[in-house]
Amino acid sequence: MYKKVELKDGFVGMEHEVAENWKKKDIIKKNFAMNEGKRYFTFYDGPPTANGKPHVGHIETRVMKDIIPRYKVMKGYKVIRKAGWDTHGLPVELEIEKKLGISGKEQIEDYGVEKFVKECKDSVFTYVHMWEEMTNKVGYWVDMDNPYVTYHNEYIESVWWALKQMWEKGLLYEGHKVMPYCPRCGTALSSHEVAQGYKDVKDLTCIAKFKVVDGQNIAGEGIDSNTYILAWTTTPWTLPSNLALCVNKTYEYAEVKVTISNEDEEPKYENYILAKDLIEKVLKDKEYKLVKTFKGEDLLGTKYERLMPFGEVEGKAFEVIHGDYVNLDDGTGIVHIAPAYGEDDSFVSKQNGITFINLVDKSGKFVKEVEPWAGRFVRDCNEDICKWLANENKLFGKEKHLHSYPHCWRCDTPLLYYPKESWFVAMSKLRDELVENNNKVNWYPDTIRTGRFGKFLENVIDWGISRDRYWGTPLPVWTCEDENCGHQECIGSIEELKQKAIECPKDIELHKPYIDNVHLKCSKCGKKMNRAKEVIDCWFDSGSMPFAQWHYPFENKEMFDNNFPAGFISEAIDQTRGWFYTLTAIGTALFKRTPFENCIVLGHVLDEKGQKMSKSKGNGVDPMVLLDQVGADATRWHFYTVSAPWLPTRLGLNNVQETRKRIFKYIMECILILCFICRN
Amino acid sequence: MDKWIISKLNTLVKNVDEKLEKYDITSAALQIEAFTDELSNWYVRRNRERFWLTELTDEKIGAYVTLYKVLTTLIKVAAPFVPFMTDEIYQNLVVGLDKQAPESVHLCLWPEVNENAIDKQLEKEMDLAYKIVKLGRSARNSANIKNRQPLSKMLISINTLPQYYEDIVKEELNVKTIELGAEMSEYVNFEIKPNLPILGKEYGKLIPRIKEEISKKSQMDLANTIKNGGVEYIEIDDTQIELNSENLLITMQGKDGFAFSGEGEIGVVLDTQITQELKEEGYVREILSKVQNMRKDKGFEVLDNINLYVFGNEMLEKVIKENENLIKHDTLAEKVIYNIERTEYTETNINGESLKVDVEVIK
Repeated sequence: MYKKVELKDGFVGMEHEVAENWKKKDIIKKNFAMNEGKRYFTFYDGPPTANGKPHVGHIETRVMKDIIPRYKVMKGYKVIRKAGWDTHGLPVELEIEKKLGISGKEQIEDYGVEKFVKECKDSVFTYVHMWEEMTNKVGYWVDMDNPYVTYHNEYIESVWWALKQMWEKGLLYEGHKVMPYCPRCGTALSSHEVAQGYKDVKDLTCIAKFKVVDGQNIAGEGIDSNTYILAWTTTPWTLPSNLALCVNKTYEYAEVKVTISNEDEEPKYENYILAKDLIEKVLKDKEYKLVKTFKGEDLLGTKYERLMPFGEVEGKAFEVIHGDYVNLDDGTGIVHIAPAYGEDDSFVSKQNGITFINLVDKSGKFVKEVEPWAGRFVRDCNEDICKWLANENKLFGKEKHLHSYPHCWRCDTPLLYYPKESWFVAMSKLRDELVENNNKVNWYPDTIRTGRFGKFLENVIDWGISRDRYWGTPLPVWTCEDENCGHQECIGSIEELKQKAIECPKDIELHKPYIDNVHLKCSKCGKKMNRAKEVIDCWFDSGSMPFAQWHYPFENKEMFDNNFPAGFISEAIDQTRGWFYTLTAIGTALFKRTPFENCIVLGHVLDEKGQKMSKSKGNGVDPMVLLDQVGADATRWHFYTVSAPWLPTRLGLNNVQETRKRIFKYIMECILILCFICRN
Repeated sequence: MDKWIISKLNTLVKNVDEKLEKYDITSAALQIEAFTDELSNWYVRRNRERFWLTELTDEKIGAYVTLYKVLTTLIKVAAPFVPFMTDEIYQNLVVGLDKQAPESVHLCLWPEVNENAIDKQLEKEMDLAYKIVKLGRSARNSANIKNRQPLSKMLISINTLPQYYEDIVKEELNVKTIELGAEMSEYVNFEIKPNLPILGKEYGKLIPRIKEEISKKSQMDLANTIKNGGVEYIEIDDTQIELNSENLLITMQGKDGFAFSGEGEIGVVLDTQITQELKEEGYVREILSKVQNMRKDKGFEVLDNINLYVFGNEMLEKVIKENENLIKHDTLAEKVIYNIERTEYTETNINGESLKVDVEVIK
C-alpha cells in the first residue's frame, strides 16, 4: 500500500508529485477557503518587484512568511493570503532606460513619455513566471491569482485617498529643502532611501584658509594682518559656495603663530585660528607659538574675505556664526557653511540670516559662473579646487579620508545635497505618535523596537515623497496657473477628479502623461489648474497596501475592517528603512496605529563560509538550483533551524543537504518500519 | 514505552503550539527535530523486537497502533514547516486507509492535546535513561569498543535510576552491571587549567588565585559545562571572571581501563577491561550477528531451520562448541558442522579472528 520514497533523489521527485496532487485536487484553494466565517487572522504580504529575478533571500522571506499563516489555518482562523506586486518606481524606469539605450530625463522626454510609461507597464511582470515557479516550488501558499498590483487604477485611487487624508490633516506640504539628490537619476531621495545606500569611500578632503579681514578685534585685541581661520571639509566642491563659518560659542578657540617658510633668510609667519583642543591634531608636527585663547563667542561676527570669487553674492555673508551641532570630533572645530548643500548648513544659515547661493545645476555640474570648472561634475573637481586653493595660498592641507558617504540605492551614484522644491509628509509632527505606536508592536527580535527602528523613529524627519520621474502614482495636487491666485487642491478619488476637471476622459488612467492633460477649474478664480508634475515615492504605494489592496474606502469596507491591522508580517532587516517604516508612517498618519502587531525581522543569507553573497564573488546560490537539487522541505527546514530568523543564515547546497540528512532520515526510518508491518 | 512516546507526543503538540503562538519558529522546529530523534533512535529502536514479531500479537498491534498514532500526529505538527513530505506521508498513511479523512494534511486542523496522556515523571526518567545510553555510546566510541562486545560494568554519577530503566540501559549498552552514585574522579582524570595566553593576558597576577578557585569547584560539573559550550563565573576580590571554553584548557579522560563521557551533571564511565570470558561472549555475539545477516542475505524465511558450517579457526571452534546450544537456538540451526571442505564458505571477520562460515537451509 505504501510506495517507497527514495531518500537519495533528495525528495525532489516526491515534491513534484505532491505539488501535482495539490493542483489536481485544488488543495491550495481548499486550504484558502478553510474556516469561512471564523475569526480572522491577518497576514500582509510585502510586495516584491517582479521586474527583477528572485534570489535566495526571497526564498528565506517566503519560507518564513508561509509558516505562520499555515499554522493559523490549522488553529481554526480564517486567513487571507493576498499576494502583491510592487510595480512603480525608479528601478523599473532604469531597466527601461537600459533596454532603450537612453539615459536621463531629457532623453526620456525625447523618446516620449507615453511610450516610455507604456514600456514600464509592460515590463513590470518580466520575471513573474520565475517568481511564480519559485513560489510554487518552495511551497509558499499565497494567492497569486488575485494579487494587488500597485499600478492598477483602483490601487492608485486608494493611495490618492490616503494623500488627501494627509492633505486635510495639514501633513502634506510643498517645501524647499536641502535634499539628498541623485544627479544621475535627477531626483530627490527620501531619508530612508538614503539610509540604504551608505558606502565607505575615500574622498579628498582639505583644510582651507579663510583670511580674516584686517582691522578687526578678537576678544578685545587687534589681530595680525595675516590671520586665517581654518576650516575642514570633506566636500571641497562646496567651497565656491561658502557663505559662512560656524563655531560653537561654548568651546575654547586659539590663535597660533606658525612658521611657514624657512627658505628665505627671514622666516615668514602666519596666524591660524582653530579649536584649542585640536591644535596638535591639525598642526601635527609643525612648530607653533600660542598667541592667545578665547571663547567661540568672541569669534562671532568676525568678517573674513570670500574664499573663491565665483558668482554674485548679495546679502549677509562671510562671517562667523554659531551652531550647536559643531563638535570637536574631526576637523578644526570650525565648520565651513554652504547653505545650499547641507541640512545643517541650511538651518544655521536661515537662523543667522545668511544669504543663499547655488553654483551647481540639476545634473550635478558647476554652472557657468564657476569659470574654471563650468559644466564639470562637481565631485570630479575636488582635486582641481584644492590645486586652485594652493596656488592662491588658501590651502592649509589636504588628505584622502575614508568616510561613509550616501550613494543612490539604485544606480550607485554618489548623492549630492541639493536645494530642491519638493513635497513632504510632515512625519516630524507625528514623531511622538510614531514612537508610541511602535512600542506596542512585538518585534522579533525586540531590539529592533528600541534600537534600529525605534531610534530611527525618534529622529524621524519629514518624508520627501515627490519624485521628478514618470512611472509612479501621480501626486494628486493641482495648482492654479494664475500666480496671484496660486490656489492648490488635492484630489482624493476619480469621482472628485471628474467633478472638478475642466475635461476628463471617462476611462482616465491615473498615470503620466494622461493625468497631466487633466486640468481643474480653480474654485477661487475660475482659471485653469495644472497638476504638480511629480510622481510619488513608490514606498508610499507599498506602505498603503493595508487599505489599497482592497481598494478601500471605495470598496470592501468590511474586508478592510476585519483585516486591519495585520497579526503578522515578516521581511528582511533592510525593510526597517523601507516597508516597515512606510507602513508605520502611513498607518500612524491615517489610522493612528501601526498596521501590524507582530513582525519577524529576517537576517541576511550568507554563503557556507559566512561570506556575503555577491555577484562578483560568484558565491551566490541560485534559488532554483537549490530547490531542484536539494528540495523545498530541506531548504525550509534549514531556514527554520540553523539560527534564529533575525541572525544571518549560512546557506549552500552542501549544508542544506546536511540539514536534510539530519532529520529526514529518522522519519523515513519510522515510516519504513510502519510500512513493513503493514505489508505483513 | 508506548506510554512514554505518547506522552512525549502530546507534550510536543503542546510545545510547538506554544512556540508558534509566540512566533518562535526556531524553537518549535528544534522541538520537532528532537522528537524525531527520540522516536527513531529510542522508541523504534527499543521496540524492534515487537515490530519484528511474526505473530499478530497484542504486543505487535500495540506497537503498530502507537507508531501510527505518533506519525500521523507528528506530520500534522510538522505540516506548516515541511508541507511536501508531510502530505506525501499523509497520503500514504491516512488517505490510503481512511476514506473519510480530509484529502490533504493541509486541510486538517491542529491536533488536540490529550493532557491526561502527559506523564512528566515518566518523560523525565525515560529521557534520563536515553541520555545515559547516548553518553554510554559515546564512551564506547571513544574507547573504540563495539556495542556487541559485552562489558562488565558501567558507573553512573547520578544516584537513582528505577530498575526498569537500569535494565534498559544495561541491555542497550550491553553491560553486565551498573553502579549508581559513582564518584567520577576515581575513574576519570579531570584536568582543568587556565589557558595562559588568554587568561594570563587579562588577569596576570590573579592566575594562582584563579587556579585555586577552579580547584574548589566540582571538576566534572565544571568540565562538562565548559565542554558543552557553557560558562561559569568565579569571583576574586570583586572581580568577576568568566570561565569559558576559550580561556580554559580541559582534558577529561578515563583513567586506565575506563572510558568516560559526560554532559552537565551526568557522567558515565565504562569499565573497558575485557576478561577472557567477556571476550568469548563477544565472539559468540559477533558470530550470531554474522549468521543472522547471512540468513537474511540468502533470503531464508524467518522460520527456516538451517545447518551451520564453520571452518578454519581452532580457537573460535572451541568457543562455538562451548556455546553450541545458544548458537543453535538463536540461529535456528539444527546442526553445527565443523571443518569440512565446502566451496560456498564466506570468509568473516569475528572481532579480528578469521572464520569461514556458511549456512544452508534444511528442506
